[in-house]
Amino acid sequence: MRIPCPYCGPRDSSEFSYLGDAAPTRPDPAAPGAEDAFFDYVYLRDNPAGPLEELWFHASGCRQWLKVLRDTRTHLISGAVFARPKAEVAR
Amino acid sequence: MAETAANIMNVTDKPFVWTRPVAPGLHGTPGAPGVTALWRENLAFATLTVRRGQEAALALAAAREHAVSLPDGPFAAQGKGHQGKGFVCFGTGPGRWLACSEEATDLAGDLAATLGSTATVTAQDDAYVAFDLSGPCVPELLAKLVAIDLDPTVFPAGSVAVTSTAHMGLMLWKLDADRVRLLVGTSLAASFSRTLAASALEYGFRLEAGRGTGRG
Amino acid sequence: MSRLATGGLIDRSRPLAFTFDGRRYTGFAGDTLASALLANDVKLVGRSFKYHRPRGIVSAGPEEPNALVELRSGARREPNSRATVTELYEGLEATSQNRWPSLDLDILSVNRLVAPFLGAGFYYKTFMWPSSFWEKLYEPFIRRAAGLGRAAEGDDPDHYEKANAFCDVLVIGAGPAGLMAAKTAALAGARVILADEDALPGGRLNAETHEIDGAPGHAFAAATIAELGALPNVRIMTRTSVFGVYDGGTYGALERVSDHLREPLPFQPRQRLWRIVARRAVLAAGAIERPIVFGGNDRPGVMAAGAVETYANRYGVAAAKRLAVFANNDGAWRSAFAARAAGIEVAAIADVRPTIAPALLERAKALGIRVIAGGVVAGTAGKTLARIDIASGSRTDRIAVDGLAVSGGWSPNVHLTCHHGGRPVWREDIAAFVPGALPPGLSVAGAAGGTFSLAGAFREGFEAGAAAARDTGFAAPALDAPRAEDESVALAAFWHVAGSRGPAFVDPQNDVTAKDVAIAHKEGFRSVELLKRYTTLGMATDQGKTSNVTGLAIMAELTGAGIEATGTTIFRPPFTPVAIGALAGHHRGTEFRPVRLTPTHGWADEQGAVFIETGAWLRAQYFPRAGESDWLESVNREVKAVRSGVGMIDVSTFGKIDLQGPDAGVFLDRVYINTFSTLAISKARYGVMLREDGMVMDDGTTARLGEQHYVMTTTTANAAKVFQHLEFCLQVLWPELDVQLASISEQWAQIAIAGPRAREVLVGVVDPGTDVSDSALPFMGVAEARVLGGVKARIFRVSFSGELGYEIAVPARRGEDLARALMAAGAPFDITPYGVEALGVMRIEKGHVSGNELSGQTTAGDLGLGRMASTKKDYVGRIMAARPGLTDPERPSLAGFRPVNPAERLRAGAHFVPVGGPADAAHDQGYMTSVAYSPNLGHWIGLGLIRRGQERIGEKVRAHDPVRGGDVEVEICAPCFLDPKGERLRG
Repeated sequence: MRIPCPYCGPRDSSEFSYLGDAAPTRPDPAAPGAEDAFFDYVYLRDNPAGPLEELWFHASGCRQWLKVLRDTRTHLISGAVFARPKAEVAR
Repeated sequence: MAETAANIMNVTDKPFVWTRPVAPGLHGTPGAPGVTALWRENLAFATLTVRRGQEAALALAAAREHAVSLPDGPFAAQGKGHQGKGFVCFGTGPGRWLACSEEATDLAGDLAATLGSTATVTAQDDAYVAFDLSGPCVPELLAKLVAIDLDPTVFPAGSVAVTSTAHMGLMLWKLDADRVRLLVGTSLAASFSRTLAASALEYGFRLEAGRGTGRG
Repeated sequence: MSRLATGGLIDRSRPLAFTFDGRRYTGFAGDTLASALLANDVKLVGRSFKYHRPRGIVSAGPEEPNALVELRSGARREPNSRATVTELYEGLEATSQNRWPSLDLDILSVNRLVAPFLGAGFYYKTFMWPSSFWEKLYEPFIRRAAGLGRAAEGDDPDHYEKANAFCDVLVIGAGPAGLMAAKTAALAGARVILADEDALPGGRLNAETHEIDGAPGHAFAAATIAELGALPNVRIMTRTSVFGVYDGGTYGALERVSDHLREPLPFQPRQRLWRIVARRAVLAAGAIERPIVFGGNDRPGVMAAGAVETYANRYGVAAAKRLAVFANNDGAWRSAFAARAAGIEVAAIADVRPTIAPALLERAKALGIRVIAGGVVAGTAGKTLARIDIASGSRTDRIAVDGLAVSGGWSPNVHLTCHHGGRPVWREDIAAFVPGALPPGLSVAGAAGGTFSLAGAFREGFEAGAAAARDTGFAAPALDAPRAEDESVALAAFWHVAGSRGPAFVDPQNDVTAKDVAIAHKEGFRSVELLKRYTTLGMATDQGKTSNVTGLAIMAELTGAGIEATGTTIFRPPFTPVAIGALAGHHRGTEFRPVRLTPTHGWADEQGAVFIETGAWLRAQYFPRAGESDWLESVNREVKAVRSGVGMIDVSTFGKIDLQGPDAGVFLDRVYINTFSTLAISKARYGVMLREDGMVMDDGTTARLGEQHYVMTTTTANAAKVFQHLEFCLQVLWPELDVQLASISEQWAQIAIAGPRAREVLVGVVDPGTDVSDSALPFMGVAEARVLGGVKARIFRVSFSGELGYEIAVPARRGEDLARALMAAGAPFDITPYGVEALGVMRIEKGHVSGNELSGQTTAGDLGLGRMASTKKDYVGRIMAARPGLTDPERPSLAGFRPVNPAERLRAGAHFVPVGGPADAAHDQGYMTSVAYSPNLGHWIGLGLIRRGQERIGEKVRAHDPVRGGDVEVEICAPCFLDPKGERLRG
């Protein structure tokens, strides 16, 4: 599998480590109901058949966390962007 | 025991003791070596990481102080150090660079003095071992080491790749049309030298030791 | 000899001697083992898998199910080598398989008599019987009787390697379609790789007698290859099988660099595994001729029609002296004519079709070949084929032949198109499966797609090459298609001669007969996937290349469901077998993975250290001295030396991370359970970090070097994981924090000195004027100093051993100098180098947790570290660590353990059960995580996790270890066996 790293270019997937669905965001720990929100954040994942935005870490490359769009049915990877907000990506 | 690619990886006989680096000299197919590697431990290194929101200021300072345009991708750019000593900066990630100088000076100290207000500078002089590769078979050799398209149309001179080979982190820097510099972590230098030799024996492999020969 | 007087693409000026079953023969350069055997009239080449039936060569390609031999000998012996693709070399040694005592006389061929017990479902039925039957009766019998050859007798002496290649267009197969595709794409300017498993590219052009642009096919192939080879943008890879299609345009290929040689040339690998990344690929892998199933169809001498033609044209070998043809299609007639043209007598053509094209009939008549339209083979006779019976209508013709060329039509090589889950589609007109949904970027041309005519192959090759070039940004060139025949490939589907005499083999390699398929049907195993597993059809090393379609067609006849509805089994990589050695490449033996050497490795080696792998690192385990009888004696000495004097250990393997920036303190507060933003400059603090689920991730000390500058240490094992976690926190969770990270693990060597005399040793290495007194450098103090005469150093007064201790960091290349300087400075105090064993003993004596306790299933509370957690801030894992399940007082928590009888040994992994109670899961209270022999206490000690451990000090339980037969009564104690107040640390 090849992942188009936005910094390094296309690389073999063995250079990356996988985390999972990029959608969950860390809840506000001070908000009411934080316990339930954290439980969902840590454990609950959708398992869609189709395109999924996932977090991958380019461990053997630029050491950037990426959001990679992968189709879970075909492994077709249709894009990758830096996980950190655009404004925070130094170029 | 004969010096073959199979036993370079698996024997306890010199010159290929496992855990030991490959000994300097000519190995493999006799004659003019297809690959020559110069093992260098006398280069200075420093990592440079931009502080948050200081991209423009850093670029300005780097241009002013070192006449270098910090590359915004995996490429190398030449800079001028203080005291007339040159260095090269290459991109290792967004807002991250590795500076490399042929002179073993206080590169990190120099860069911290000029760029320290806009970037974090960390000395890495002892973190890397360099292998400068030259010879007609370097492209074939590299095809065995890294899964990156190194065709000159895709990866011209001055290109840099941070990648891995045989479970070892590797930085690859195309110095010019004929030469490549590989950087590996110092602790992995001996293992890497064996991987390099095993892959290069068929072309004839000459290892020239620079200052050091690795750990033991 | 069956070598024809002329012809063939062999080099008759280069004879090659070889042996088969010890007998000497001669072939020529350009032969395969199979063609050379046939040339020498060797027709019987092996015995079958289950029934030990005599078998001969049936094909001329990679699909061969029968002619499997042991190639080479000793450590290089390779069983199941296909003689049909084994290139002949001088001195080749081959041995037939599965025969005893000899190929000619095989005693176990009586297996045929017990065939009813070895038939379909054999494994299922046998396993259902009592196990005593299996162990005593069946297993010994099967081991003797079945199997395919013997493995090598030693470590493979050869070397294998891996390589990567990149291209715009990968063309798989260098037959007419592939040559055309490659040429078209190459002339367009694309970077092209043309891979072919054969040593001689050309595919069918080398096997058949077509004229192309007025020249012989093989000459056209050679000229095209020469033309392509001269182009700088083309790479031709012969002897290279593309065996798999992976994700993202990645293709697996095996290059047999040295298989055609007796042994690899010096410094050459035996095989090279390629990973080819291609933007587009053209599959031009051709097709495989199918057999027709009939009684006695496995008799040596029965061959594929195309194979007979190939042996005649490519190798100059007459596979038979007198041949009959049995077919259902026009193509086989051309094979018959080609055989006749090569000088083989063709006695008859039996075609299952009642009506034959007039042109074929005329040609047969002109050549004097008898035609039996509507004829089928009803039986065969002879140890090697001597006679066939052809039934047509009510009459039976008995014909003496020594060869029978069979053709049931052709199966396109669709395998690679299925590697992404695509299912082949049945085409009634050619009675074959053709590619269905294709992997992205792959197209198909020629026979692989069901287009069997030569003109069609050229046309489709051109189209596929042009499309691939266009897709990769190149304008397709105008090319004249070579002029070639658009020959007829008409056929009538026909699979199985029902009612023929004798066992009719569908899968000859696994000895699966048409009757077995019928049994599977009768017993309800009708889906193709069940048919495969129940009968083992298609499960042999050939993966059913010649048998799958026939087998499922017979099943479809039985069920009446039709072939399309019956479908095929799933084709998975690899297309042909790939040796594990090739997949491993360099990574074998001591080079299984790289090792990281510590900065003092060479020095430790000089000291005679015994090393141990800890993660990727090789660390000194202990330093034996002359006269010491075992490791424990050495370790005891090292521990005592540290506790009474001073010792030294390289701790460079800890992960070291540099953190800088105005938000570094805040950041550390969020990743550690305790607070670091308030840490004073020049101080270090022990920290614990959790995963977001509340479990402990790692621990270590972090020092503050400046207002905005910290240095973190991680455990050796978790260094990479923690760094990745910190990057995640900074890039994904809190990108607004201004913190810069850098790994400095490689940059700094770090050596710990520990023991009551440590400070005196330290004084000996720091540059004059450096104050390292207790007041200048108190416990958990940090100093940036100079050592060894001007070398920058960081000195941390921390301790893992519980003694007065310092860790001294210097740039990695000075690590060895530092070790030597410390040894010199420590000589008056008899400084003792110690290894990770002694380190482990001392940390257990002190109750410090390590990898065994940081198991990913323990909370800070479990480890007695709960009080460290700050309540004034949020941090990763805080919320989830508060879950009732993780704060349950019943959870096993850290405690110390000592044997009630001090002479007894403790074992890590032992489970705690009540004294006098049952030792079962219901009474399990936890387990021992770490043990050591404490030379200071004179008995074994342990750390473990036990329910409510911290409240049960003084209680006795059993450490039950049924695996090693241990059952030791232990007393629960505080998890610190020595100096619980830590006075030695502050000494």
